[in-house]
Amino acid sequence: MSKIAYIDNQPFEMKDGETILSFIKRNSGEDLVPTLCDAPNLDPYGACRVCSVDVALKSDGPVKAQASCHTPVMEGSYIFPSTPRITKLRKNIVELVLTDHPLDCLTCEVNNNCELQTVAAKVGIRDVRYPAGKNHLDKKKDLSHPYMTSDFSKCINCARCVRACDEVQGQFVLSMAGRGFDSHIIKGMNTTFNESDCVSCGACAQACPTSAISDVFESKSVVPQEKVRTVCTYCGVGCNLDVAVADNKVKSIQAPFDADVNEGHTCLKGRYAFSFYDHPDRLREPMIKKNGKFEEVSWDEAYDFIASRFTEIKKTYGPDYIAGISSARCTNEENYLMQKFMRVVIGTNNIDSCARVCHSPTAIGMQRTFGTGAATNSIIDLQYTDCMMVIGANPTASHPVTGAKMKQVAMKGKTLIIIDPRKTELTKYAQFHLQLRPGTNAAVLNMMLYYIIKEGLEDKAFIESRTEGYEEFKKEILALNIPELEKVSGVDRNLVRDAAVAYASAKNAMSFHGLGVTEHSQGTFTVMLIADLAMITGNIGRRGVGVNPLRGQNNVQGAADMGCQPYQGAGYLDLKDPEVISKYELFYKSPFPKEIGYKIPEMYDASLNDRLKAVWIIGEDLVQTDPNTHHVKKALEKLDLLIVQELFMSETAKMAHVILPGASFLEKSGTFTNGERRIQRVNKVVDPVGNTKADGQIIVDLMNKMGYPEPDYDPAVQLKEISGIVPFFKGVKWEELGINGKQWPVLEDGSDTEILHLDTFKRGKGKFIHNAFKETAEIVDHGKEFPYIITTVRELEHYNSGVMTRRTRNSRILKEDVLLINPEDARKNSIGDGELVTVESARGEIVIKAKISDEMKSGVMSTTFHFPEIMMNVITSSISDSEAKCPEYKVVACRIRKK
Amino acid sequence: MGKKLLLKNDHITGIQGYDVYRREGGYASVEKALKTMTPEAVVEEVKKSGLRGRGGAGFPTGMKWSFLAKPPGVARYLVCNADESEPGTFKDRYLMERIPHLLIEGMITSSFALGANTSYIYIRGEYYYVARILEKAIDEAYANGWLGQNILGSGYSLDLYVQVGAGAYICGEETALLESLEGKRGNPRIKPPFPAVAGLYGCPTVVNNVETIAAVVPIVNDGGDEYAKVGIGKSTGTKLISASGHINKPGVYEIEMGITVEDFIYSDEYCGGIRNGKKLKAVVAGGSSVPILPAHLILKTSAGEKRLMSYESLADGGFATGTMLGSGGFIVMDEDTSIVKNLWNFTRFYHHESCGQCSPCREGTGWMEKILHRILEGHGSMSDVDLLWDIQGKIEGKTICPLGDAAAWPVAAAIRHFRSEFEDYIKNPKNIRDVKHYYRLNNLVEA
Amino acid sequence: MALTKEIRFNDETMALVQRMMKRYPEGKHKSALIPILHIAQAEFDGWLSPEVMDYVASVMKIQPIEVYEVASFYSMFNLKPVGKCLIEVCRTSSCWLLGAEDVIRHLEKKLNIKVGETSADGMFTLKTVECLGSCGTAPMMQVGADYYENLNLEKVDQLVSRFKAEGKRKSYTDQPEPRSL
Repeated sequence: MSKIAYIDNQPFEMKDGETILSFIKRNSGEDLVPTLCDAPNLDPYGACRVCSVDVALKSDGPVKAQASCHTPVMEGSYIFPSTPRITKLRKNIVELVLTDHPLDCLTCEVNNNCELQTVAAKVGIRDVRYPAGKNHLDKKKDLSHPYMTSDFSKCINCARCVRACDEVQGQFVLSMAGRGFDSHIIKGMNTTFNESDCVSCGACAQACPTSAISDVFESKSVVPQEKVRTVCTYCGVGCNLDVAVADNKVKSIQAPFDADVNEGHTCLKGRYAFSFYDHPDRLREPMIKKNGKFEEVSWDEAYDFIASRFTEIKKTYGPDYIAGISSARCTNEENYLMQKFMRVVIGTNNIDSCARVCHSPTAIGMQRTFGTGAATNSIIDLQYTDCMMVIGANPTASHPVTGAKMKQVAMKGKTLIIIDPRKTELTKYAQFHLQLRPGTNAAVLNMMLYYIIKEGLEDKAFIESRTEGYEEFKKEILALNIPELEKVSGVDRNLVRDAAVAYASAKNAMSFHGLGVTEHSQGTFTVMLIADLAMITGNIGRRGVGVNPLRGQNNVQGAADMGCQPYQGAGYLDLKDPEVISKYELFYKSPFPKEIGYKIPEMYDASLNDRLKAVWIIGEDLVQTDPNTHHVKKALEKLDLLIVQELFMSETAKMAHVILPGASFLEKSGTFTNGERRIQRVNKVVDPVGNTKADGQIIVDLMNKMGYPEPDYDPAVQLKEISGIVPFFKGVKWEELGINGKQWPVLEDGSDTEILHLDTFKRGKGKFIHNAFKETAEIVDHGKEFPYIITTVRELEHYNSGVMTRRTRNSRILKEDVLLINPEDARKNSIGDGELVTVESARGEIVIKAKISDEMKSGVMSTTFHFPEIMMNVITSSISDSEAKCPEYKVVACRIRKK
Repeated sequence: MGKKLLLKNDHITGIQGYDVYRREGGYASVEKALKTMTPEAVVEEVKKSGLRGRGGAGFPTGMKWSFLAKPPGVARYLVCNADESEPGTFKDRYLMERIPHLLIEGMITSSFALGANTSYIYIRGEYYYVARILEKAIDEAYANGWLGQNILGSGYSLDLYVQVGAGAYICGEETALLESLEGKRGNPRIKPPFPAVAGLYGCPTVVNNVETIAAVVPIVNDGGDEYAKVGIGKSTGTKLISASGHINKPGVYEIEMGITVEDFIYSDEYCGGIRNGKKLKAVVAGGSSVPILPAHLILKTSAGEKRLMSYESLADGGFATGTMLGSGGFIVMDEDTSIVKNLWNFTRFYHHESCGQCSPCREGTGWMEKILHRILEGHGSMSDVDLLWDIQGKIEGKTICPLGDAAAWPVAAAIRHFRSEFEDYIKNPKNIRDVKHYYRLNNLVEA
Repeated sequence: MALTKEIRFNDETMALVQRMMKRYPEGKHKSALIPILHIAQAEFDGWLSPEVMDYVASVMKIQPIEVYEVASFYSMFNLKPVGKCLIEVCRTSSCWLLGAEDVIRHLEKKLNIKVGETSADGMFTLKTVECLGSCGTAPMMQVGADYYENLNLEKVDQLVSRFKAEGKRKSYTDQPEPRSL
């Protein structure tokens, strides 16, 4: 039986537990009841009382004013949202609020887009009956921060900012201090934004109904009609952004509340770090290096040059002497075109992408165990899980919106297990922190599997019905030498056991992993062990469980999906299979290369061995970001043709023969696929700056130049082609993606998939594969001589090589790379905080500033590689994952001395 | 002499200590409940007694107890509200200071009834010295086996702690009290959920006033029916009244509900009449927040019947001509009292004590104080009285917690019954000078 | 204003603080914040400096802002330095009806300070407070742990002289003076 309540005597069906406000909004429109302290992404607060409505419990019963935002609808109640009594009440309350608010609307940044102003107008306030009294209008503005601003004379004490800081970001920087009329918002211990621990996520500014908290871009001054919705390019979360644009310029960015992915939230990169796009440093014209100097040329000249050189090299040496590196920063359509160019136009499988250096082991490891190399579940599953296990990932810095959600879940009492050499921010919220020595993930995961079996916590029914290879696997696990594993990992076996028990006994347990898993010599094997853990405990195939890689780049999932890897074509079809080759040949109506191509690290070796002559790189700074810089440089120097398609003059671009200026994500359309397999629409916000072009158009132009007819870059067109060859894109249509996109596999009828492997695995049965711990060669070969381990990480403020974020105000917040060093190690080496340290590995040495911190255990150090000044990768090694060739950035044996 | 149930032994020497208290029959209710009754049976007796919350709202205690959610495996809490902060109220301090073991005994019996194994007494910070008295009594109770594990071999265990506040009237509101007890700012919570479902640490919780919990002792000892025989109608039992103001004998009196207001004010057993032979002008009968009544309406109802000291009789006539028993803070004002200035004093109090969460209260209490101050400074205008009326109407019932009501009612009542006095001040500002320095200490005059 | 000693609880106080945090269920020790702030205020010169609040946060393993937001809410916590004797005169309701204003004016004159100020010698701070639940013994004032009731100006004079002579800091957490009941 449906339950009924009445609005102005009209009956409407009500939902259980629904508030009066949502009941009214659902049935009588969003704008009928004005509100001030209510916000779409915050819990009801009930403090402004502007949302009051009259409620009678029966027809013609006595009415009582109730705050609709938090009061549940009572069955059979009669709600009167706008009686004269209520209208007057609202007017008087807002009038009271206005007695302590400056009446300078006309000069205020949010004039015409201010919630207080709107509500005041709506309730019909003409003037305020109170004389000037004691107020807070003399409060000083805070302009200390690169992004955040405050002017608390405009504060109406609705606490939306405080709640956003607590409930959305979980940072607890803002609070209400004082009491009553003296209550006021504070930052930290009553300091400024700049001095506080603010992470500049901007949630407070977006939440503030006035301009009491805002930002330097005055993002709240823009009405929705002047906004374009697109997808952020700074990580695999895939936040939707509302970009305000005027006169073909980006003004500011906010996070839309109706975005499934980020629900009105985003981080400082997504919200504020956009000004790189028209930075004076942007490459604006094609350039060819002539006599050692870059000269601007026309597109045609650049295309002709490239086409003739490619043709020549192909003719002289063969197509396999040419390679392409596509970009996980680019759209699906562009990646698709790039692999098509290499395979069909050039005729080689030498196509790879930066997925190689991040999640290639995930793809391989999960394909081998489950059959699909992608996250099994969705971020929304965090709402349903009882236990989160985070391995080798620092989501609050690298995937901030997901990290913030994890904090909220942990604060609600859900179990959190962290396996990481660093005391990451999340460890503060964790029940278990397994602070292992870098490079020993496999050891710790093996121990966990051991204890789960020992304690009899396996999900026998799941193992029986859904998996294979368990008996053999179990034997190998039970034969493990636990004391030895305890010793190598440095994690107490009891702690490992307790964490294993917590994971195995949770009703629904979800694992997340990042590059701290993949960027190791045992990366793929570690991913398999994570999959083993999920299978042995039956945590696959429903809400709140699964194995969920936290994808590093915005479209790293898509780059792999589209076939930018040398051994699988578009849609992960295995190129070793002759039937697959025939399928592609039929589809492209063209011969298709049969030899497996080079992975990126293999390209360097090939070049040094004279087996590779030309490389076209899109959007990747190999010199700064790939390991063992000297080796990379040598390999690139040896090439006859190096084409770099970039936004800025990166370290790699400097070595190029031809530079092609690409367009940034703000200047083009297409789709990105986020870490939960969600294909979302990227919409062009502004025209490409200068003479730049969308990467996809550049590829298309070159295809045509090389004699292969290809229509102009248009996501709708390319998506249609993709849907014809990539099986899990079958039902994807540009015009049907909507504002929230679709999660693949998308079936022909357009329906999509939140959770994979529901009843059966993609490969049929899930396969248990045991992989024993093996010490990395880096430690075996160099551990004695270089006794410290350095591991590379990222910080919240910058994105990878930093080419974009360093050209925004983010560089005022985080100015340099530093070496995090444990106090004990610092003391032993007489290194003081802020002093320069020489860090030396078997490959080379760098000089870097020390920051003493207990974030790292003794013997382990960490640093970032956001700034080219340091060139951290001079010291990293060429060792890579045995299966996927993902470099081992995370373990570098080194020694240190004070400079 | 009326019947005494709580304070019958308050003048016995040494009653503060455990030995004398026990000698006089203390802790019998714990023995009776734990040894011979089920928790449900204790709740049943409290229901039968008709006991109503003594903190101010007067909600039936037995009913409040029966609302307590009991999900399996979830702790339940009893929290005693000893945050006595309503101006004019000091009975709980008297009780705790004089007979601390009575509260401890009531807490044990009540906690048993509710199935709470940890209970807290939240006492206002200013009563720090009283907290020490309670802590001493608790130590004695532990030492004598009334608290701790397996009390009297019954299998029931209880830990009891005293928690001090730090100066905030709002923490007398039960959800603000719980927030404060959790170590937070005393901001009242939105309801639902009610504390009976999600209270302290999100667990089912009952919050009861000191006097309410103390009354459980005689109820269990003598039975709910016996308790219900005392008093009048639905106002069963006795009530502690804090009498203050212009009377000859201020102090705490335990009255049997149903005596007349006139008796209470004028008889020598209680207040002993108005000081200095002055005439009665007005009474605030239940703590500063209840409506003030002029002499004729406090002594008799509008129907001309004698007003009684009971929930029902004091409320007779609604807010138009009646008031409330409230916390029993009985403030008496003589003929020389300025109602306007008294009201300003009250509004200043509520402005000072508003937590600041709800906009009507945060801003409105300030404006009420400001407007009254303006009138008292001789700058009032006639529209100010209407504005005051308007503001109080926008606060009453329009806030998360009842502090809004508490701030609004005194303003409404003062205007309702003494409007001419406001108008007189506004028309003849010089009259204010006469009251400005009226309030002097006895036998002391200094300009 | 420099503190007279290092911000650190002595062993005995620290033991008490640790005991207090154990009065609450696992993970709910933040409940002890207000009682611990009382102890900290008494220990460190009668007020809660930012450093003291930081210290309390570190002892309790909570964020400093959690301490500050709470400390600033409650009127008994002083966020600015106060004299050794903080004299708190009730100004509400019955106390006011019975002469609180005279007590306040008298103290202002006697101590040569206004309400809210501290005497030059750092001995007295005068503060008015709302109802202290002592209406039947009005007017009254609180100094440290003690209530001084049924005041008249003579009594006020005597008390001030006594406090001056004793020269001791008064705290809420002091052992109260004996009271006649």
